[in-house]
Amino acid sequence: MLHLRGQFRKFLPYILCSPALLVLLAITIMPVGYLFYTSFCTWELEGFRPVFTGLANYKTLLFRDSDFWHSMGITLMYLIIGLSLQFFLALGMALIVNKSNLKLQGILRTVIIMPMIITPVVIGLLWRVMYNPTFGTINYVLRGVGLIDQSIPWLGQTSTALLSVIIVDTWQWTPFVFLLLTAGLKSLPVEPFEAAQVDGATQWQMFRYLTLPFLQYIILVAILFRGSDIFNTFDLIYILTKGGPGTTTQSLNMYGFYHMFSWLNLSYGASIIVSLLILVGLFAAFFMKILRVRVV
Amino acid sequence: MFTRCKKFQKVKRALLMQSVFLMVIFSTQVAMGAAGLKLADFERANIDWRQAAGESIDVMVTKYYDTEVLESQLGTFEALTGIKVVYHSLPETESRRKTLISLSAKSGAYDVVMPDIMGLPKFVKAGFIEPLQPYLSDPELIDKKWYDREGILLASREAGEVGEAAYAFPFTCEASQLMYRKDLFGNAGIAKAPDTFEELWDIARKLHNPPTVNGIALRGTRGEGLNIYVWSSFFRGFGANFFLNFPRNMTPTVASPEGIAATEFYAKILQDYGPLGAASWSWEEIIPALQRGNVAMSIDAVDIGPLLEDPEKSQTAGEWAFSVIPGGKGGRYPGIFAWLLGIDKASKKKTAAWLFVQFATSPPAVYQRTLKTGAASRESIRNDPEWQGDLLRIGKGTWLASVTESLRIGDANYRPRFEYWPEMGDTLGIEVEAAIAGQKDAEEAMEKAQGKIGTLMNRKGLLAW
Repeated sequence: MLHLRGQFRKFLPYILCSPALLVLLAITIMPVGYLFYTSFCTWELEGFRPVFTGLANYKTLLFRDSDFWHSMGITLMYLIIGLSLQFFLALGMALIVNKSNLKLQGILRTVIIMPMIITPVVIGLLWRVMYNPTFGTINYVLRGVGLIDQSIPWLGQTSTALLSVIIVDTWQWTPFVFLLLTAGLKSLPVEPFEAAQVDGATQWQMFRYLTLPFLQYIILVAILFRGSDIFNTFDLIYILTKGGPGTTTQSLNMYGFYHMFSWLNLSYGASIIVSLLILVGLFAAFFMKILRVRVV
Repeated sequence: MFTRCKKFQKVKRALLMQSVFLMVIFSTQVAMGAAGLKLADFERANIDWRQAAGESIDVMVTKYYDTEVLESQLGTFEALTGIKVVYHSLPETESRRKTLISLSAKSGAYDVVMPDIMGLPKFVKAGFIEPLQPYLSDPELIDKKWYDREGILLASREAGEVGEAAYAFPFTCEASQLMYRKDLFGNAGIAKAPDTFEELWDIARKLHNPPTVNGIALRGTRGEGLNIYVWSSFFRGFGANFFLNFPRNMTPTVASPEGIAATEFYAKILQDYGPLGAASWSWEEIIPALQRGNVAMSIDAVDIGPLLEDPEKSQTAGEWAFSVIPGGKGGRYPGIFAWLLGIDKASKKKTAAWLFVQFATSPPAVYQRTLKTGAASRESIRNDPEWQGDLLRIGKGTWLASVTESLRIGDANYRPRFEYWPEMGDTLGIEVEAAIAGQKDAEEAMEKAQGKIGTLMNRKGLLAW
């Protein structure tokens, strides 16, 4: 009897977790598993059933599809420029807000996080109108202050389209990084800073040798979250440019969307999305490893 | 205290009266689409409308004005047939996604679905849509004289066919048309709308006066339903064809001299006389620019007309005239688009679904539903002076006349309607947009598109390379 009770106790945590695990299995693991399976199939309209064809999709993708590599390049460019902009802007804003008085801090925080709470589709439409060279406010203001003579078609020319999309993404998501960094700054210990002040350290030295090292975990978490999110950006690009002009802003996610939903190349689209998943996985694993090393 | 109470009672009564009044107004508005829809009009059909009474069907539609009016007509359908309708009306992206998921799962979740003209062949090829021929030839299910399928304008009727077999009926059908500012035309001494592409070029050049007014605005944003919807009219008008001999020989020919010339014309007219950044312009930019008076001419869907002539929305209301789009040596090819109603092959209530499709696309239902939009695809309705009514106000009658003419001469197959069109159309859209943006010249763009389409046809086994 005692033995049975012991056995029950041993399995109790698993029994208690099983409902949640089952739900997770049904809504997350199974669809992802099916996505992987689909990517190894050919799924044509006739019959509309996946037929296993092994690595055929991946061979085409990696060795014969120049659009895939182009979209990969766009995605990485978006990631590097977007993430850098968002991080440095957020860090600057967090340091400024942290130095201001408490009442002002509250107001600034509220104003800064506003873009984050608006739906990306709404933001996309809003900026699309603002970027318009004929009646958009951006060109109007820039012309007004004499920075440009003629309106610039921000989204309509290859030289500015990607940067214009990144600017909107930065406008919306810098507040997220800002929030994380502000929370980090608030939790910094006071003593080392006081000691550094007594020792005559400059503001830069305190920032370089105290603030940054103390903030490193928060910074890594912020980069990890935002980076994974940037890989998956879809709505903003879709609303602003649909991937154009030409394929200038066509990220991997967009490319996968077109194959899966517009063209019904379900298995090929799945292989693109799986590639993206692997890329995000590698990115996350890299930062997780750094985090783990630092913590240990 | 007493006075205050009395005042309060008065205010309360006034508020109550107001609420009742507003409720009456609201219900009247909602019922407007159904108003005038008489059971007797349907009972004249020599079929048993109640043959599936007691059943319940699920209908999935894309939410827009016409489907909202259809919703107000459901009461009449339910009273007529005894069939209950569960109506799912969702925004376009969502309704398309749900329709695709339901059809591909073969669950029959929606008995009636709403594909569009270019998406239908894909669903037919996959075996998702019920062929309508058996229903059309069964006198128990259709009164041919009453339904008058032949009375549907050819382009609209063909929109619901794949390989000459009917799979869906047109719910609404629209064409593209030329819209132009007659005041600017008058000031520049231009007497009439352009008939040819050369005339279109000349007029765009004459009226181009940036930054106040651009000569012309056309869709630039990539997409088979965006820039390719309009560009295809130029492509065909220049005498180009998408394939060597569609559908027998699927060798792509988009990079033919005519195809390159059409693309060069489309890109160049936008670069020289179009708005800045025309490559990223879609109807979302074009409509406000036309309403504000920033553009002299455009070729786009006919439902833009009423928006331009509405004084509450448009600063240029009253200044617009409309005509059939210009053509070239290949002829005139107004863009044709239609929303259709079809039956899910996996549906278990096909008779009920058929009765619904027939009801919603029948002459009396279409007549009432299109009184405000003018989107009727039946000639008899379009020629009815009572139906024309207020619509004649738009462009002083030129709008209605050119819509009818465009639907009459239009060809539903001006773009090749087959299962892989969405991918092919998007591929073209990318290259045309790149040409407009100046990223490539027309020849390079069309050569690239041709290569990609060739690969696609080969991959799908439609081409023996």
